Amino acid sequence: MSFMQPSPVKYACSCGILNPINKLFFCRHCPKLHCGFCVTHEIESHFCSNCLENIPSTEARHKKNCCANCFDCPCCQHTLSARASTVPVVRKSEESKDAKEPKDGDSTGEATPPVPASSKPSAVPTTKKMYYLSCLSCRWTTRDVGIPDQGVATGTWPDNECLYQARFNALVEYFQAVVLQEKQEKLEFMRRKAPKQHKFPSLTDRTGLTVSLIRRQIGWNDKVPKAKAVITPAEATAEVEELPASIFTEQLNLRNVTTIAQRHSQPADQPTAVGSLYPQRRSLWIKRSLRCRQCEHNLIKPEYHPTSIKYRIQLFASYHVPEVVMVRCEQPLVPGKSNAILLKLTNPTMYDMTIRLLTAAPPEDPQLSAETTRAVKEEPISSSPLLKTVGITLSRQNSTREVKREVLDASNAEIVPLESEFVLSQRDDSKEFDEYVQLPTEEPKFIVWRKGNKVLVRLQFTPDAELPSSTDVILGFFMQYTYVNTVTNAPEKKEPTTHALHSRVFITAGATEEKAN
Amino acid sequence: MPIYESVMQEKPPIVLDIGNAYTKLGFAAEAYPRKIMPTEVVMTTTGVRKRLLDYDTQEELYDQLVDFLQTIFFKHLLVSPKERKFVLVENVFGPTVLRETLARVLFVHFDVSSVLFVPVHLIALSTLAVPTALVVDIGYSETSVMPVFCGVQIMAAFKDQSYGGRAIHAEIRRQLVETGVKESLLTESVLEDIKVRACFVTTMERAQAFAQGGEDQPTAAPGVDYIVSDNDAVIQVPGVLRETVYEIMFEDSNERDSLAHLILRSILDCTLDVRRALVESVFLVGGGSMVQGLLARLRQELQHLLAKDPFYAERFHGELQFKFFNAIGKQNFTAWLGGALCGATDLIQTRSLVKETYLKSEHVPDWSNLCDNRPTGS
Amino acid sequence: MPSENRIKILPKAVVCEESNLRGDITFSSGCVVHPSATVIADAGPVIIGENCIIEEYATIAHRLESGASWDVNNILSIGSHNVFEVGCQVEAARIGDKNVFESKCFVGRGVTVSNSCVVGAGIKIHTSQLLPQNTIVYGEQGLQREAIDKQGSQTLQIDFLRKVLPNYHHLRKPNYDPKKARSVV
Repeated sequence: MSFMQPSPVKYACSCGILNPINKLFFCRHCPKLHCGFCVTHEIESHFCSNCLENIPSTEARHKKNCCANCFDCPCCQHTLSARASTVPVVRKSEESKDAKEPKDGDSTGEATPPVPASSKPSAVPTTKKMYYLSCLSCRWTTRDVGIPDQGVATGTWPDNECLYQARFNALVEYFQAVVLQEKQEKLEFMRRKAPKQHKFPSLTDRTGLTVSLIRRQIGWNDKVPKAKAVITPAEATAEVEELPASIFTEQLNLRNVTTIAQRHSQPADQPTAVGSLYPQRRSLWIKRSLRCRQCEHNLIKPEYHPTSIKYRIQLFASYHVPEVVMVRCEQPLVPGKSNAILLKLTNPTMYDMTIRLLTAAPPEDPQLSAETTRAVKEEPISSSPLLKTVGITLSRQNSTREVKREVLDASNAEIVPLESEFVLSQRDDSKEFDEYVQLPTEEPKFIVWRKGNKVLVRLQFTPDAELPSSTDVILGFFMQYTYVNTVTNAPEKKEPTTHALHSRVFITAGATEEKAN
Repeated sequence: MPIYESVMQEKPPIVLDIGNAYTKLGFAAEAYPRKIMPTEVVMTTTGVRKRLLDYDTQEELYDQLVDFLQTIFFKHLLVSPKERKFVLVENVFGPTVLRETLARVLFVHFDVSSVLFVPVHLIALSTLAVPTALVVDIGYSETSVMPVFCGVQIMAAFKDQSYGGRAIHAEIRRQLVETGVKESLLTESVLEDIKVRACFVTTMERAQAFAQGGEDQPTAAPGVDYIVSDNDAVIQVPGVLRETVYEIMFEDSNERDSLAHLILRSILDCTLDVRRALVESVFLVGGGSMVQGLLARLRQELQHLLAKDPFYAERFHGELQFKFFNAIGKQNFTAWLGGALCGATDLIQTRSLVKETYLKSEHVPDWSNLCDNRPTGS
Repeated sequence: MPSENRIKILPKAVVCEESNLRGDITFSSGCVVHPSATVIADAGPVIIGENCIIEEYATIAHRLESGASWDVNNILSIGSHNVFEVGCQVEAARIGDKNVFESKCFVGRGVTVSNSCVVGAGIKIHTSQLLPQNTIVYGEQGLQREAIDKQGSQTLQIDFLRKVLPNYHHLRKPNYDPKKARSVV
């Protein structure tokens, strides 16, 4: 298998984009293939990727999407870890308590190093654990920038302070007042003007009943306050910061100047000196759920807990659509010369599938199209010219506006379609381990090998004659397969229905032979 | 107002400033952006990093924008864009195709409820609470000058030149290659790092002495060894380079297109009555304006031209003293900050382009489009 | 180059038998050399200071330059309290005290390492340069920074190793009389 490298087999998504099967989802309700582009992404839950704590979305918003306990290194953006050191506290002399030099804990983590010998034999030596943050990647510590050690590990580390917060708040208030005032003046203006414009006076317009009612309820003056919003505007100055004279003589030490990434990780103050880098609260991560744009059913829904990697709903395409794997080409690829390719098809479902490989699109399953039209009310937006030209109808108003694209048909080889359909038997995990004796059955000629839910098929093709050398030969065909759907849109039908679905598959078979000179 | 604020807290609008080099993103009514990130996308198919605004076809741009915004929403802002309000800071003279595509991505793909486009110069000014200033935006690909008087942009006096971060990078590359440094070492990130950490704008006297050459050159600032870690090589960055790379913005050539000329010409293009007000309120924004010494040099140059250049001496009268505003916060997100202020007000309700309107016409109203500016037009 | 190895091991040094040692090497007291650590002294003597730890698969090489030959005065001196972690390869010209070479790092020939430096895991330094005091090389891009806080020493680890290693490995006997050494110095 081609792990970690682009797969040569691509499926056309219902939105027209080509993707390998492991990037596709299968909506059982539509039933169609979808990719990350044509589904709606939603935020399921917030969590911290370091301490794996789940954080409710209101709290996350309040904390500015940052974890309360975890910090990132301002120097290299790695996670900081808390380290303990033991500080001797001498009870007897209260004054000297703070003056004590903290003894560095040589041990890593929380382990307590041996208590250092007390300097004053008369005093009772008691120790206190103090914590500082340290980066395991670049060895930055909070002591580097002179942040005092804290008594609790997840303690009160200084937060980003915004120097101009007060000014900013004043500005916000000012502009809100200005806009509000403008709006009221406009309303007033409209109110005065209104009787002349309209034949029929409107009660609310004339009196502004609702507004004044609310105002009276709140206890405000009925009249619009005439006091204007005020703010001291910024003042321009002719005095500008000159270059320090030392810049022309002093040697520049690049280690003391922050990089642009370090500056941007602290957007509020963007320090230029490394001495003002402060630990940054670690930003949260999210779990995403995916939703089909057509029918609004969930395709992917992860489990809530951050430590779990399982899903509550997982409609990956590889659980529902037969997987095509390219095994090999029989001969080197030569333009215009007939060739054959071996494909392994696997049935991932619990039902037998009947498969046909075709060169032209098979007609839509009549039962399926009828069902979908019945299930979802047609509500086309006729006003959008963009959509009109594409000619798709919209089932629901708010989610399917993304324009469908034409499948990029890049195939450059002639396929000989398989002469008949064949059955791909169901997946049966127990059979994998059985001593399974293949019954000699009458098989079509193109089937090379068959075991369980897998089958090896030989597909004949001819690369286009005028292909230049060392260009990729791409085979394109339609794979029609029967799919047994256990969920239905119509509630009255309980038994599973069988659909004949098809998807377009493109295989990059490899490059054509170099021309022999 | 209290009712309104509680509504605000429900879903604060998202404020985006997609620049040529860096994108600033965050929420309205917050005093600084959540994140400043390179405007780059990692191609899902190849894994190659690519500038967002490099594209061949509109569809490619569309796909890149989808990828880029997807990362913003789900990796950084951690909110679903669905039914959200947006404030987008845009360049007044930016390409229409980008604007339209961005709107289409937001409305069609991400299903957002409204988008408010705000012009960068005007909105940057709102952080000062003054109505009049000459806003100079020094960005990555260009430097633009836009006078604003009493809250109105004077479009006729808009000036721009192509010196910005990118030109500085090219200059550093040129000078280093001249000293014999291998060009393959000088990637964009190395150049940027040298620019940010080592370079500054020198004074006018020294710059002139360097330009003239000859015997009595001032001793340049000490050079610095820069270690390129990827290839494990050391680049000697000469002190002269550290001082003079920014000279491309102040070059005294016959074109008369240095930054000082640009500002003076822009002021001259405005009517007589507003000129003094503009001279006394120059406002530099954009990441490029954060370099050390730029403001001092610019003031020096402007005053020099005003006094010595006959062209300007003839046209400007009286005692003129150039004055500058100090931005709140850092200049590289001043425009974003303006957007955040704007998004915190009721304007987001009244002035935005809402989804229903957009879907009716699939078009974003634009000041330069006659269809949107006919007196009877909608 | 001398034909046979001249390994001097001072008392209290723990040098495992399975270590690969070649040339004229002096281990000061308190050193810990793990099995399958390699020290090569081709170009000249290697003198390793007190309380150094050389872990498994670590290589300290004092190689011959092309055309040069063994020179008794070409000494690679390594200071005290250095840690060479698993799989590092150090060919530095001089190494001071209290340095840490993290796993799988490579330090090339022209590099001079002063005191209290840390070369991060997987970092490769080829170019000739001097790493000033307290330098920390870290990260994918091998960025350098200066530590202000002192690195903790490895006394606990060295004590532990001195206790545990003799239980499981054959050791090379200390063969160098410190009194005699003192008279030489």
